[in-house]
Amino acid sequence: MKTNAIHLTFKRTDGAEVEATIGPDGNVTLTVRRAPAMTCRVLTATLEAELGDITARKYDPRALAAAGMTEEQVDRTIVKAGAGGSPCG
Amino acid sequence: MSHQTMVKTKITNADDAADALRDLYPGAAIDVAPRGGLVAKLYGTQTASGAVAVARAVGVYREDVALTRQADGSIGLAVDSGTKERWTRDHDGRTLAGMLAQRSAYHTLRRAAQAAGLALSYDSTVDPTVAGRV
Repeated sequence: MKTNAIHLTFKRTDGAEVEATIGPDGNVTLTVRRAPAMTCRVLTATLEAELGDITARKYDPRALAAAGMTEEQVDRTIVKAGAGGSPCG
Repeated sequence: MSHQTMVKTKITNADDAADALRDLYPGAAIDVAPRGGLVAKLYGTQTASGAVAVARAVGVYREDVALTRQADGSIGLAVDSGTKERWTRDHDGRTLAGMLAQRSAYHTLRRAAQAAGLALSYDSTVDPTVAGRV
């Protein structure tokens, strides 16, 4: 079975970058880079909302260290707050 | 800082889904309902009601494919099992539903990114040097 994925990269004039990999089943992995925290939140939340249901998040280790939290703790915080998007560092 | 999210695609935009159908059935006649409306006519043996887009069987495609709005607001395929099996066989194991979701996500991302002020700088589907080309 072929597993061809589609790879896309987007850039913005403020330097923010978004990499997307769309798997053969349509599921998407989004990576936002070089974006200040608020920009990252907005970009991530906007694209996630258009695409579908979030199945997992993986945070920048530096952001986690700065927050003193694990990925699970961040996810629980987001769920409790009822907010989409992400901490984004 | 960077952040990675895995998203399970849910097709909700009829225009993106119709564009995906156009990718999968190049040259096929595709009827798309007006925004919020339904396709009035369904083709062939397709009996799905509430279709938002229909690809008409033509030539080598030998099949009719409809997209219908589900109860949860998502858009799903309405296609007979014979067509699904034939499509999978003819496309090296790739399923019609999977390919529709992939192409729909592709169009959704490009549209949403543009709206967010992002410009496309790389697309593996138009770069022949990339192995992952569709």
